[in-house]
Amino acid sequence: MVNQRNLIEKLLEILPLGIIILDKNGKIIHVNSQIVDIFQITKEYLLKRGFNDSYWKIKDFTGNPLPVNELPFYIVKTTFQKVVDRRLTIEFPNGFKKYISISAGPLFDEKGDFDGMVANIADISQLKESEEKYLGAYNRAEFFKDLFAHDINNILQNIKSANELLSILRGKENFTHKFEEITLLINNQVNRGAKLVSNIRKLSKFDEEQVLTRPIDLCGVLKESISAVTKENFDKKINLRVENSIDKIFVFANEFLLDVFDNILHNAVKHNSQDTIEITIIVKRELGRPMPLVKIQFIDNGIGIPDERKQAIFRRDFYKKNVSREGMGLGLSLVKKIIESYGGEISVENKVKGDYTKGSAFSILIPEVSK
Amino acid sequence: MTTKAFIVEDEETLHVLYKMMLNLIDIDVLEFAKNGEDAIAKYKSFTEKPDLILMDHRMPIKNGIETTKYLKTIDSKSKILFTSADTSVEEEALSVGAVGFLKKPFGFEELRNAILKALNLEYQR
Repeated sequence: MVNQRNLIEKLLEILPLGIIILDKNGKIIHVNSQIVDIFQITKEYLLKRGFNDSYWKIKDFTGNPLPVNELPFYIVKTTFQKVVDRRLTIEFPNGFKKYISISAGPLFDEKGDFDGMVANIADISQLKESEEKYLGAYNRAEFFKDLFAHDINNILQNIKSANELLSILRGKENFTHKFEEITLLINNQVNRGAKLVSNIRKLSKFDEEQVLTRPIDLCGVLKESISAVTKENFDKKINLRVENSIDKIFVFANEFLLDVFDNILHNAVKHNSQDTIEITIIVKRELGRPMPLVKIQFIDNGIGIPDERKQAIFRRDFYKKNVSREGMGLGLSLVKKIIESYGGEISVENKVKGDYTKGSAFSILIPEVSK
Repeated sequence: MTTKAFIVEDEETLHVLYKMMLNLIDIDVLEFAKNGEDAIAKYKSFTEKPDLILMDHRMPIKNGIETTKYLKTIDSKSKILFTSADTSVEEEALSVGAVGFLKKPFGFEELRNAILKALNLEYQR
């Protein structure tokens, strides 16, 4: 008998699964060392506790609280039926969390009366992490696919229409004038396609790896961006003013800072129905901890952003069927990623309080390089 | 009387190109709008309603479906032809009253045929 008991205990110890035995009242009476490894609690601490002890919280696989009558041991205890591969989350007060798969069944004595429960527990935390990673990658791929398909189709529409017009209009009156206009338009669309590919690459890079920063001359980058956006929109009346009390200011950033400014300025021009596009850029120092911050504000007189969409424009996943997808989607989600990688933040408010239709004011905060 | 079109499209380049293409089939462009809300405001202000509306779907502030629903409540006779790359909304666009759906990228002939069909549809009623 002693040998049999020893044999069973040895067997329980060499199993790759956690084994837990409870008495008929639901108190833990035996655990193997794999249980101790999984939950990182001593045997002594576990023994005599009930399966629904307040020390741990048992939740479903997505982290939602589970009612008592859905707990595996409760089901076994009340139905005498086994429970197979129930996936649960176990949370401890110190924040320690495990994802487990549990299979449990009833134990009966010689007379056939219910005498306790036995369960095996597998730690599937790594599996859960892999699933989440896979789901994240899948969502990213879906997002890029959708975005790319939509934007590239618009670019193709422009090029296709322009090309057909060139064929139809050839030899007709005013063709030379229209030829220049249309070929310039095709060229812009090709550049736009290249930029789209580049933006998607950058965004994907930010998803996958940490991007390094170094001291960058903010005003130099801003000047470069203003010059590029002004040149690109030579056919529009743009009144761009920079209020800058600082000549040279260095921030922790990288080459992507130019994308940030380009995106915001491009949006200020694109989403604007005024005859004269007004953009004011204010650069100033702000107090910040642990390091000083630089605040850059871009105030425009564009179409503005309704309050309910102010957060959504920075998200990549907000567009759904039947919901407007902002034309600014990819650009601003990339901008937010870049700014956050610098340890900064971005926000948008109305230019005029309470009236979004008067334009927007984007504010960026980036840590300054201490002198 | 010349046929008049209203172009609702956030792609400014397409404003230029659509106008050139429509002019080739003797259609004048009455006005452009860059988003749904802009489209509704302009439509309400028209003294002379357009014979046809070219409607994109994915636009800032208000999308094509939402805009069509609204425009149909103020003018049930408006003829709205969807021009979008997003075919997932084709069925819904037709169900809310669009007379047709052109999937981007489309050619000049497709546009012309869809417009003729859209205008004839009303004529046959």
